[in-house]
Amino acid sequence: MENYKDVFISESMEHINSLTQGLLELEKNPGNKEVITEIFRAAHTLKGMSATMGYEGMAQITHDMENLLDAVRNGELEISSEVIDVLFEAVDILESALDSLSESDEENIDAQEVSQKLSKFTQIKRKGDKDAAGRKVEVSLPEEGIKRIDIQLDEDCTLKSVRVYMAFRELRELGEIVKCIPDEEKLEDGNFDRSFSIFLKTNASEEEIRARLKKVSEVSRVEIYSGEASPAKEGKAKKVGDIKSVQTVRVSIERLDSLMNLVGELVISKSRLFQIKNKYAIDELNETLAYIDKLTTSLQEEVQEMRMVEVRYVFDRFPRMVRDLAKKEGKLVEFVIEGKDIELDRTVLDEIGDPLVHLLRNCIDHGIEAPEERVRKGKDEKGRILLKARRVKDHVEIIVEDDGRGIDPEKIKRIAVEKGLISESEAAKMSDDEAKMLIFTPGFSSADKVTDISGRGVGLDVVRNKILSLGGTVELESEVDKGTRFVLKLPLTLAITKALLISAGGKIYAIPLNNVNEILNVKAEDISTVMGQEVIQLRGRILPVYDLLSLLGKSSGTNSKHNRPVVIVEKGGNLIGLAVDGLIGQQEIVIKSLDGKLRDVRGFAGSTILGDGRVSLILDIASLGVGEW
Amino acid sequence: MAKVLIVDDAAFMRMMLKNILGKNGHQIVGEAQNGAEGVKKYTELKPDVVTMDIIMPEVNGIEAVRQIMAIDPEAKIVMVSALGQEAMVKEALEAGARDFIVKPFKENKVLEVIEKLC
Repeated sequence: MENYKDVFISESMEHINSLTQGLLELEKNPGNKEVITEIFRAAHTLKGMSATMGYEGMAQITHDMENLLDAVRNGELEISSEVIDVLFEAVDILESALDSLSESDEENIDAQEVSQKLSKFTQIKRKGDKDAAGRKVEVSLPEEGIKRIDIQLDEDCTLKSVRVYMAFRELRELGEIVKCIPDEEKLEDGNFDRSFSIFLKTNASEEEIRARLKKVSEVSRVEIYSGEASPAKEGKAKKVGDIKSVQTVRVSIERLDSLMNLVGELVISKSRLFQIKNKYAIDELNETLAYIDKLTTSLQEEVQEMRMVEVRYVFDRFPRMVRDLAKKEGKLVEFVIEGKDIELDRTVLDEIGDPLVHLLRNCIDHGIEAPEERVRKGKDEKGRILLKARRVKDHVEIIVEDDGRGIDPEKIKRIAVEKGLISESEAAKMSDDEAKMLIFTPGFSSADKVTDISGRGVGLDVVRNKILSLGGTVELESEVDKGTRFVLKLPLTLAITKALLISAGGKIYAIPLNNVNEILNVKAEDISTVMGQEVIQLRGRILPVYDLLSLLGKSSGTNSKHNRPVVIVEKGGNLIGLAVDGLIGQQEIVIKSLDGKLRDVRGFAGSTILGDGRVSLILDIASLGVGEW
Repeated sequence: MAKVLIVDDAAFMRMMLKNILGKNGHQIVGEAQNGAEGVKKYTELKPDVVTMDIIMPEVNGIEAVRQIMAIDPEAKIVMVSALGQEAMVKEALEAGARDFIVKPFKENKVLEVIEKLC
């Protein structure tokens, strides 16, 4: 069974996602029969799967969900917000069981409480469902084994579905049917050839099962497999799954990472070859190298493509979150998601979940007004939040937008002054756009009171730094009473990027190109000192200039009286200059992350190997330690 | 050999069943034309097996099964169904019928079902 666990977890996750989606849809649209059928099916499949794996808690919860949904399906129970809430609660517990199972072999959940809540609804509305009660007890008997029973009906059997029904009825006397192939719906419609398989959780012996099935007419053959995989069972089970598995193969992320690494090595070796060719002027290598160049590029693109994951894997958990938060805050929100099928590198996608949570929370907490306030402003009482992904050239834009109260630059300035982030005179000089950018300043939180939802000390500066460290940017547009829009620009992949190579103190460093604003050649006399900080003037603005080596904690050996190249980079919303020794050029680099003890070293995003085999560190502008100025 | 009561509103169907069962050594102890008559004859004749049509005037087959089961929980009733009556057959089985046969009859199927019950 252990081998099946990974498949079980990932497949269950999919079912839980569709449960969540379905429930959200059902809440909006309680009469939607299709959705009810869909979530019923998801719960049913989960029940079968978890019972097969012996996860009693999950089996019990899904069993009760199934009962409840069945009552809804039959019109015996009406969808109310309490029903939806309990179902969501059940989904949460299932999810936490999966989380726990992915790390241990224990479900670590208390199924009883939610199970009782679920069955409360069915008990009130449904009378005497002995069958359900009986089955529940059986689910909790752990020592039962699963038997697979293959049944073949007579060729000329006409009412096949009724025979199936009779077989089911007999077998239910012996245990619980956890799964059948084809699925129950097809069997009920008689929509199958002659044979079907039933997975029965039972203590009964083979003889007992055969005796039961003898009572069913028109059965031409019965075969029973139990316990450890018999060859026949394996063979058959495979046959069923074969059709799909030909087209997709599950590969672990680690494998893809190591593949990407190997491709990276190849790219490095390629540039070394180029270097050697140029050094010795070997013309015979030209053609071959050109071909190798083409091949490595295609290979790199292929692997990159393989690592791409649709943003839906992150987006799909938001509707639930938005719903819960809006409900808690007493706000009415229509949540729209667009561009779920846009793909991003797995690593990037993993990192943007939290920033997006933060932005969405902000939308609900600060953006969308309470319904009464919206009506007063002449807006629809229901606010609208849009989460949208779209591909723009070689990057992906993620837009988080609300039609709430917007950001008031005057209010922002006032708060910033109160918090001592800027002075009165600075505030007076600031343009509205500059003022809005203040919300990204560390220590800024505009919420008048700290709520449970946002303003917990994790500010927008953290969001922005995260996106910057991924090599992306954050843009903000906002208009008072019209709404706010955040645009996150993200690179498609993190593994290979373009960088500016510079030299400082005899070493070569790489600065990711998307951090670089411009490069200046600064004369010594253009550098002045203000309050102990070296600064330069750039088109009327004053920028601090830091010696890169000093920032990295080394003593600068360069005489600062000479002309020096200064790289202007954006850091935390401000421009700063980094004085370096020399510029080398722009190059595609393969990012190798820093492991172990080096991981926590500030200022570096990773390392890369240059064409000549030298190792170069990649600067992480966002975490470079610049003093307050 | 079984003593059989045939309940069907169509004389033709009763005749078909009678022929099949009769030539294979079963005894037809009685016939009824609707559910109510079927229940009455069941109590009088105490047959081993009842064949019960589903769609019949006045008391239908399913209701008749319920009434007979109430009188004799051990009664062995076989439903006679047409194609497309799955739901009703299931309902009858829920009510206590033991098995079913499908019109048009196939001799071997009818015998399989009846003999299984004896």
